Amino acid sequence: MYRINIASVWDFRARFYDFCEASDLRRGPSKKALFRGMRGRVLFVGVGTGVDIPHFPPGQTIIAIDISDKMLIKACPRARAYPGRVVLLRADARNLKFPDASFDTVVTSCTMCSVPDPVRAFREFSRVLRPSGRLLMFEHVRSRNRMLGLSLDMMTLWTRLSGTEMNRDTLSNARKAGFLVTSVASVFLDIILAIRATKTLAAEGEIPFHAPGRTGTLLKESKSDGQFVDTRRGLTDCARSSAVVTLA
Amino acid sequence: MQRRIRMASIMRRRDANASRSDSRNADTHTNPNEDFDRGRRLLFQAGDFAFLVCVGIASTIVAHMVHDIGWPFVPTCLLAMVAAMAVQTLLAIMAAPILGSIESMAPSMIVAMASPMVVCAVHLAGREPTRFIAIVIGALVAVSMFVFVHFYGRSCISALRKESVDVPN
Repeated sequence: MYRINIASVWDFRARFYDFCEASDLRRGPSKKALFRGMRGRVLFVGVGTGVDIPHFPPGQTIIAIDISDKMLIKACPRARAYPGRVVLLRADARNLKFPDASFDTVVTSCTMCSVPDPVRAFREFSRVLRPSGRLLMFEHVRSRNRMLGLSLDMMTLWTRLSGTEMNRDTLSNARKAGFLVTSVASVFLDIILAIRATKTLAAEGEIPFHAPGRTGTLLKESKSDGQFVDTRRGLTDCARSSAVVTLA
Repeated sequence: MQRRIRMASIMRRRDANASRSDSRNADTHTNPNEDFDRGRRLLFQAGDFAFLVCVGIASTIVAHMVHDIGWPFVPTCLLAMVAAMAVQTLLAIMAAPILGSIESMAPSMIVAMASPMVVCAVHLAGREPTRFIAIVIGALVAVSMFVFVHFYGRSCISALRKESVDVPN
């Protein structure tokens, strides 16, 4: 029930999302620098209308998910224009249907402010990441400055109604889920951050190390509609131009 | 195990280098080698400055006009704050496509809270500031905020590097 509400909120926001997020002029170079760290099989969580796709490094194979169908339909033209392969799928970040250790890189961009249970989502990212897989996040968080923190708390009073919280501590949430934060760079003060993290050594256990870039065969391409592909018209049209993915 | 630790250490170093590269791209850091980036950064700083001054002046004038209604002090101050915040929100939404949503909203919200408070405080002190004085108050609060954001941004770059976890070598 809650999931349906979240999806419908984002379906509604898809109409004017591009206007609100049209700050590429300012954030674009920082996004591009962060996304250069994409390696191997990439999962992009919360692709939205695809505003981040132009900043992806060319030639990658990227599985991009979002909870909203309308967002994904809007992302189709950008996915088609990408010089590589972007596969758009409808999925919930808190309940990924991918097998364990199936991605080398998980990427989020202004996503963890909107996922209802961020720690659970991070645990899912950890599960689908290969040992020593990397997590790249372009996220906004609560400022540690009291004055700026207060303004973000106030903004959250109304942004929460549309599914976004401006005052989350995403770094702590990632650590709670067992990620090792390897670097944090300021994009705007301590509010918008470019974060790099890896699965902790403890989480790796005794599984042998796999270098980023090596991909397995857990995902395979198929011409048929797969388990996680929305077969409605918009997404099917989009999928024709790239690949339809099913789980092996 | 040692191999994993070594690899994690290498990855951390590589991420730290990439992080430094990100910081160079950030609006709050200077990169003397790339004129384009520097020019871009200066343009955004100029935009931030102009925007904050606009918000400061507009919100202060609105607060000043509310005081002209002649209501009792407390409801007047509350209404002045609400009106100033409404004006700030509208201006921030308009500026968001160019300056960024959070980049424009967060600092300007403080300006829109602080400058009407100053106007209210002046009224509480028994003074009747002219519209020109109100404009000067708004502009001064905005300039103070701009300077704060600039220096706080610089301190953030070094403070955030400490967030990275040291992996034992």
